[in-house]
Amino acid sequence: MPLLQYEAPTSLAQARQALAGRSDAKILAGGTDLLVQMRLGLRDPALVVDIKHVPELMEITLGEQGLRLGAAVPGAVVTDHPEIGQLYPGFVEALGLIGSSQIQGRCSAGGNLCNASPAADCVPALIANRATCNIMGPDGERTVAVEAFNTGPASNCLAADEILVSIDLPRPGPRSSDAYLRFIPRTEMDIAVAGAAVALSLDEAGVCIDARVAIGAVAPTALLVPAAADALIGGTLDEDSLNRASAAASEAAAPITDKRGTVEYRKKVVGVLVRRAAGVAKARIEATS
Amino acid sequence: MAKVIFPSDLQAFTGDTAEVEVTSVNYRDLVAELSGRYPALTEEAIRKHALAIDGMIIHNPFLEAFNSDSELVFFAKIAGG
Amino acid sequence: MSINIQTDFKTVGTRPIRPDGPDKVTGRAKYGADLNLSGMLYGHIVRSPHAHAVIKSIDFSAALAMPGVVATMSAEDLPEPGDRILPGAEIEMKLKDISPIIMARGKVLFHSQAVAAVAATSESLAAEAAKRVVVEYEVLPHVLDVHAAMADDAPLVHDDVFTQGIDPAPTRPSNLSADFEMAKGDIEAGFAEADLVIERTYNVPMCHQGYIEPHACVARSDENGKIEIWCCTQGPFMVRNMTAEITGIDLGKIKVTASEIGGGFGGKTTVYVEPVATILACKSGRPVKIVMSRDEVFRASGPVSSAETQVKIGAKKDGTLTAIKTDILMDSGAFSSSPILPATMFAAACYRCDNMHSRGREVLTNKPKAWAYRAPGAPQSIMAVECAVNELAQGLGIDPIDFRLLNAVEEGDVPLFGVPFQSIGLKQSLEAAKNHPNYQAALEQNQGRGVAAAFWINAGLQSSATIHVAEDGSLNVLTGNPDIGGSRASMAMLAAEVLGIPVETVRPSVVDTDSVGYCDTTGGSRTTLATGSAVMKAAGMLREELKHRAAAIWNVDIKEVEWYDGMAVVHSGIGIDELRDELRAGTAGRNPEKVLTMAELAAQAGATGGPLTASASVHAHSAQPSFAVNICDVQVDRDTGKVDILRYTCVQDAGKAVHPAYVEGQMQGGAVQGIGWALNEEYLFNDQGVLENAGFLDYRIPVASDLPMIDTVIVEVPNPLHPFGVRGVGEVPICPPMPAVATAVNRAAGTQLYDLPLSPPKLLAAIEGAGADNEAA
Ligand SMILES: Cc1cc2nc3c(=O)[nH]c(=O)nc-3n(C[C@H](O)[C@H](O)[C@H](O)COP(=O)(O)OP(=O)(O)OC[C@H]3O[C@@H](n4cnc5c(N)ncnc54)[C@H](O)[C@@H]3O)c2cc1C
Repeated sequence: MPLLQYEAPTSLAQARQALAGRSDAKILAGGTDLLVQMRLGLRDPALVVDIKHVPELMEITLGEQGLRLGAAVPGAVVTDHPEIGQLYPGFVEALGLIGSSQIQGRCSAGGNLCNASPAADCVPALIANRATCNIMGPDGERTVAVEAFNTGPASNCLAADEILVSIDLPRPGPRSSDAYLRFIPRTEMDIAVAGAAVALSLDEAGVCIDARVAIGAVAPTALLVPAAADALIGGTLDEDSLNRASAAASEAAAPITDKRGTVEYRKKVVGVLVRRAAGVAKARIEATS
Repeated sequence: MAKVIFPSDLQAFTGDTAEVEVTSVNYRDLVAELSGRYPALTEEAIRKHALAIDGMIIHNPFLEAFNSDSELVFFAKIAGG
Repeated sequence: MSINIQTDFKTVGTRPIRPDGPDKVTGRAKYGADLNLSGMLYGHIVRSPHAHAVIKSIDFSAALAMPGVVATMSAEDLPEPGDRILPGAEIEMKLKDISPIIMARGKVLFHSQAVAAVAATSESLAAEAAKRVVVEYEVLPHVLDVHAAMADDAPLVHDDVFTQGIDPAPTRPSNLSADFEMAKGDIEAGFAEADLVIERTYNVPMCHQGYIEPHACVARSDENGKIEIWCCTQGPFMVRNMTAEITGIDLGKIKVTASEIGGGFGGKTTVYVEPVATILACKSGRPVKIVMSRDEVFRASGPVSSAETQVKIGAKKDGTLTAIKTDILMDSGAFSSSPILPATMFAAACYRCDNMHSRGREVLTNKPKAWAYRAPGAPQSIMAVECAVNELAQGLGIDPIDFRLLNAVEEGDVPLFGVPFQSIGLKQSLEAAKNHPNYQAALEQNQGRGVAAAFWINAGLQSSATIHVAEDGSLNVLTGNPDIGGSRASMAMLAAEVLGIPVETVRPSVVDTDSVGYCDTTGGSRTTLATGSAVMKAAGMLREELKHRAAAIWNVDIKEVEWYDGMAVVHSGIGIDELRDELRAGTAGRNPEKVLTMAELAAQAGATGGPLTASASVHAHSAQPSFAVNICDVQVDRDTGKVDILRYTCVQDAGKAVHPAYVEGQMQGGAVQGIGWALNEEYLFNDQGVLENAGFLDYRIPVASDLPMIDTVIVEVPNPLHPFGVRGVGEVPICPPMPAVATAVNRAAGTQLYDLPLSPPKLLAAIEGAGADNEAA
């Protein structure tokens, strides 16, 4: 029987070396996807590279520009952080929805993104926040917008020897906030049937001057829905603009029918979630200004 | 005389009779009396059932006795969970 | 028959901490998979990839070629079941319906049925070896849907099953394994009398008991041919019996020790892995452990029959029921084992009605063999009748609890199954529900309320108990019933009550099949009643023995010795009443001339005849029905179809609650399981008969945050046949939730959706459908 090899590099350079030329390796962050998949026999790597000892992947830097979040930082560290939740409440609530306390002690935003599940909760919230990915490969670094990172269910743009190092979230402007909502048949420990993230900026008069809408679990990857954002921008999040944003999201959704929901159901519900998430984000802005 | 009530599966052997009176005052005699009266109603078919004697359900009534005014109901054995 | 029922208790009715609690909350308790023996091998079962196929050959050579693979097995290693009936089982079971679940013989009848097994030196090696067992199949057409299975040209699951219950007996085999009817009165005349008749079809899906601990066992054989099995089960004696029958090993050579058990709910009243581990252990000469994965548990242990029930029910304007007709169609999976009988018998057992008709049909399909789940069969058919009763009451403008009070059965009434009711607590439970503040709580928009009542018969059966007195006067109480719901606590309390001693001085244990007399399985709500009766009987015998010992010490006649408050007292000098008063007042002091405690009697046991011990057994005839009433309030999200449970109230007649907290636990647990079955739980098969949601992610049992605190009210109408009035409590709690939830949801949503589960996509479609209907109207 083949043995499983395990490496725990302590620098990016070592990590790169461990991965070099290996197509049979898997990166291990929290392992809450990878280990489960290995147990189910869905993945069978010969080498596991644990990246939790690489400083860049475990760092949180919050500055003028915004947040740089190490790709392997556990969810619990982010949700307990005193400031991140104020700047990106929707992103933090998405991260906070993952699993349970035990899972959150392990799971990372980077792993959530790299795993490339269409239903991953963090991803729409990252997209709504204009997040970008810092990727390190044999030929150096490159940057990719989160909405372009995943290419389909369980597939992303990384080459076998590339590592997601960190995720950048730009600092939101004044009178801005975000929200993420997902629909599950239970209250927790479940997988999104549909998800929606909305990031908003309002002017003093309450008119929406900027918006980003992203939806999850309703297409092969999480989608940015510019048409939904356009419906919100210029209005006051009135019934009419909410209806149009909701309809645009339903329209953009391209879900499948499976054991978790039908096409019709997911299209309808994702629209409902966009409307409700916009309401939550607006209320957050109003509450803080 | 004690009164016997048959469930529908046993009625198939009694020519649809649902209720009869018997002279027996114990289970052993009851089985003989009933299988004598209804040849199709075998001892084996009877023993597949529990017997309720005046509301008390007895899973294996082999040695049970009852009164001449008792009400006896054959009762399908069912499993719990 | 009537007996004196005790009403004044010292221990019964209190809430001591359960003796098994600390081990369970600290993780010390040993469950099925926790035992490891040196030299142990791991077994892995090869399962069918097809829903219906002939097994043409099994080739183990590649697996056996792997170093570390020690033994293999298939149905070849088991005796032919023939027409043998399993001896000693509660109900008639054919070995040929059980043995193929352990190992398929000739054919596989459902996906994931066990076909072969291997034992190897590690778990991963065994799993790998199982993959290398080559099984050649000839795939046969399969049938999954009950209606399709009844068609003339349907593939036959068995070619030797002829419909039971129809006259004349059919000459052609079919998948309709049973079709029977029960009736009383004149059903058509009853409907003619009715002012309002409701007629509707209700669907309850196939589900799983959802116990958290998967089946697990270790088996060992020795040079004398003695087999030892450690396993997680509801019934170690059942495991001994079934393993003996299935493997052909003498029952007397098998000893079974039950581990702690992480839930069973009926699902662990049969065997899946024990005979396999036993054969592998015999063939390898080494201990063999088998632990089912969650996936295997879902696919290959007994799920719970689905049911399609048609109800027609009529009442007069004043609310009097005039006729109740039910027609139940159950999916039994690949073998006849569904609870169609109780479903048919008990569907409307809560109601007094002169005209009733109930038909039950059981259908075989290429799905896993159905097995028991709390109150087997009753939840499915009661769901239908209770929903219909709610609609009828609403149609007549009568409060649903008042409607039930008007028609509820009471002592002397004769239900469809013929056995007249003794003293029962349905009306009292309905009154308690009506008076509960939750029934008065105001409902807002999109909220709804549902009420349901339910019946379950409860079992008695056989049990044994042994009590030993230690040298310090403390007690060991030994029984053979695994403790699923707090039964150790109730055994200790019953012994303490009979002997009048502190419950803390009683150590209850669940022991192996060599160490106590036969006990039927922990199930059928029978343990506190039946095994408890054996404990009470043994405690009573011990009490008499203790009096004799005291009489010997005092050298007085036994007639002069009384047992009072856990002590022997002699009343030679003064009258017993006087003595009691003295003892109560504490003025009797500790005069050993008058009083001997348990400890003192135990200390002198050697001088008075040897160790103090008593054993007793019963075949309990004292089981009596339980009734329950639930009230459920929900809120429906009209945009997503999501249901939130706002308030949930369980009322139940426990007869006498020995340990009220554990009775409440049974009520709450049953409510939660019923809520899950109503809202989300269901088996989803694809068209190849492969289960698509074989895990807790997509088989959605409720999580704690889905539920409010479940409120409970224990009603106590004593069981007239039990000296303390105890009734079984473990099963009836799962009977009312489905109709209570379904009614509440439909009231909140303005829908008529009776196709469970009421999952969000289905409910949203129904809401939109109902909206469209209203607009059209
Ligand atoms: C009980 C349970 C509940 C869950 N609930 C949810 C939920 O509610 N919502 C949700 O979205 N998810 C859920 N998940 C899935 C999982 O927890 C999340 O996707 C989590 O964020 C994954 O993070 P991780 O660090 O554990 O990833 P890992 O499992 O370590 O990695 C996931 C994948 O990404 C790759 N990878 C990880 N880091 C990098 C990197 N830096 N560079 C390149 N590749 C990388 C790995 O090779 C692997 O393929 C749940 C999982 C479990 C077990």
